Amino acid sequence: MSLDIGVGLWTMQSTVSAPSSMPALYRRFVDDARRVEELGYHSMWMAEHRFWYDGWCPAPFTAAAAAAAVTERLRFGTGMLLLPQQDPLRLAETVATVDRLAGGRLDVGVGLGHRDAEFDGLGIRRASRGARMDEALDVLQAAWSGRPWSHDGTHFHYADQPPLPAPAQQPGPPLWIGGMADAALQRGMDRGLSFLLPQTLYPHEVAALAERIRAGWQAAGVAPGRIGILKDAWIGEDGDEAREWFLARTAVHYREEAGSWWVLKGRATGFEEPELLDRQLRRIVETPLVGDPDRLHADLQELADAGADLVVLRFNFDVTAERSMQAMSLFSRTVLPAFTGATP
Amino acid sequence: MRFGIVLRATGGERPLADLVAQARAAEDAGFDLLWVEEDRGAGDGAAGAAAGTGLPDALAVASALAPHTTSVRVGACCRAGTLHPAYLAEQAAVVDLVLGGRLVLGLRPAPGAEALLGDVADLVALGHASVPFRRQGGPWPMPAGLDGNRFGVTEEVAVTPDPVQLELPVWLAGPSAAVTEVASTRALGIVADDAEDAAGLARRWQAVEQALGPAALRLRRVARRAVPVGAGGAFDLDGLRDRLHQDQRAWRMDTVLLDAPPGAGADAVADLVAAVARRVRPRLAMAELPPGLVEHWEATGHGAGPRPQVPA
Repeated sequence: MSLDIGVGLWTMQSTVSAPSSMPALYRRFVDDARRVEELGYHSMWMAEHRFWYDGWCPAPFTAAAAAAAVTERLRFGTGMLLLPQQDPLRLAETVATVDRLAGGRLDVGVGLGHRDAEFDGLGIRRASRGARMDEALDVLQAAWSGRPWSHDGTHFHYADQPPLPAPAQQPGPPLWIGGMADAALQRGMDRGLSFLLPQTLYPHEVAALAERIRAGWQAAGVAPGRIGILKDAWIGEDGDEAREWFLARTAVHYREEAGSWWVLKGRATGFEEPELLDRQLRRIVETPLVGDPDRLHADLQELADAGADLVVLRFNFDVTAERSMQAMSLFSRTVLPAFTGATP
Repeated sequence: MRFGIVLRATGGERPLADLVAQARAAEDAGFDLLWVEEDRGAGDGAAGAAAGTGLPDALAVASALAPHTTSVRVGACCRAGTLHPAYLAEQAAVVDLVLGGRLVLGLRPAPGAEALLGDVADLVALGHASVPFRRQGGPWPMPAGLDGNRFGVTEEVAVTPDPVQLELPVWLAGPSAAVTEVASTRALGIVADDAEDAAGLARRWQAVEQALGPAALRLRRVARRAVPVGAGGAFDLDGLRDRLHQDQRAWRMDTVLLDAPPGAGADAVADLVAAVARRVRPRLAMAELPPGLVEHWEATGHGAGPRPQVPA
């Protein structure tokens, strides 16, 4: 089975751990896109959050327009875009615009979002996010249909809409569902959407989910999508050194994110529940793909055998940005050719 | 007077190359501003004078132009009133970051949403102020304080990231009374449409000056102006210069957004901006030119020559 390999995640954060000039982060994003394309990767992935001190990019496809304008082949995706927080018509317009400018190179990964503060800032009840996700998917597909359309739902109302200028990809850029809760799986299986699974899964869990998803597509009578997975990753000639360098940094990154944002057991955020936080973080440091080239090759083959046909390797964090291009370059020389068929 | 060009795309399925060619030609000719309007295609009541790129998100177009230009400012004119202003504030900040501080944000009230223009302008301003804020009442309370939203919800919210510019230029577009009223109470520039004539705009700006007093001096006075086409299909640069001169005298227009005829194409636009740079702009830069200077320009071939043609 062939395996596409993309890289992520560009979020443009200036954190306490890695303060940066914000305009420089956006300049580097565009420069990185050129380099990522030269290195032969399939795609470059971003993510969305808002109302946070570090300036996390809240409009990833808008930023992607600049990177798409200097590349020819590289695809741009979101892992994830928080669809229930979006105005779906506006998102349909943005995606149609950027997909046309890029000549049909977008992948739209959508997730529910989880931060109450983000929903509340936009005047949305977090509890409505599942229903908003379903409606928003309907709106996107109707808006990209090239026909006059209307939508009269619980959360969104658009009457007598003219056909929107269509995206370059028809019937729209591929939609990828994030998450693995039953509702998320059912939503994607019923609609024949692709999946981008979360980074903390072990290969045997990926295999079980892939089997379930393929059966679900078949049961729904829809054309199958694709199965991708996001994986935190690092590579070095010396695997032990790479592991030590990377895990120390991502532990800092995830402790800040999980401690501030994740609500554990429905009780409190992570920093207020330190024992639960530690338990959550243990899985995060156990599941990245880290090591020397041979190790990463074997890990990726295992994911391919488990049924994944796209892996997004997250080399790029706020805390690893200074060396992430080095790691991506080493990976492209030593591992990537085995999966793309290119000569190293 | 500052000069801008309204971008249109005639590149069919691959509009980027067409837009980039026009943008580069305008920058090379010394133009100050590129202007992009949202274009939702046929049937959109808001399009009117706006149609042109075939692309519905002007801010995304501005982002795509960033790596192909270095100094020219980029104006992106967005529909206002149908979308939560937080999205506009966020998206505009991202584009200003991508452009390294070269964005001008245009707000054109959506049909039927004129009454919301003030709320939109206020929330965009609050969102760009780099300070957490609380805004209750109106159509978009921030934060909303909704039941069930508990964790991490605070009394105030900060829209992030901040734009590069300390004061992001926000210009209101269109002929409606709401534009004049909001510009007069928030001290924002106005972009007039081509259909608005000099006499009407003189009255409009008189109203703004009366409301704002000397603060009105800080506002940009902008208009879209269609480039006339004369006999034989050549751009009528003398006619254009006369109209701009009239605007300058009647209401102190300081920025013009030139609108080439639909279908002009990137090559014709490149010819147009080059000709305007030599034959229109210098003659409007001062109240009067010394006797003999225009004749000198024409004698050296720099201020005359064949007039660029609109493709048939």
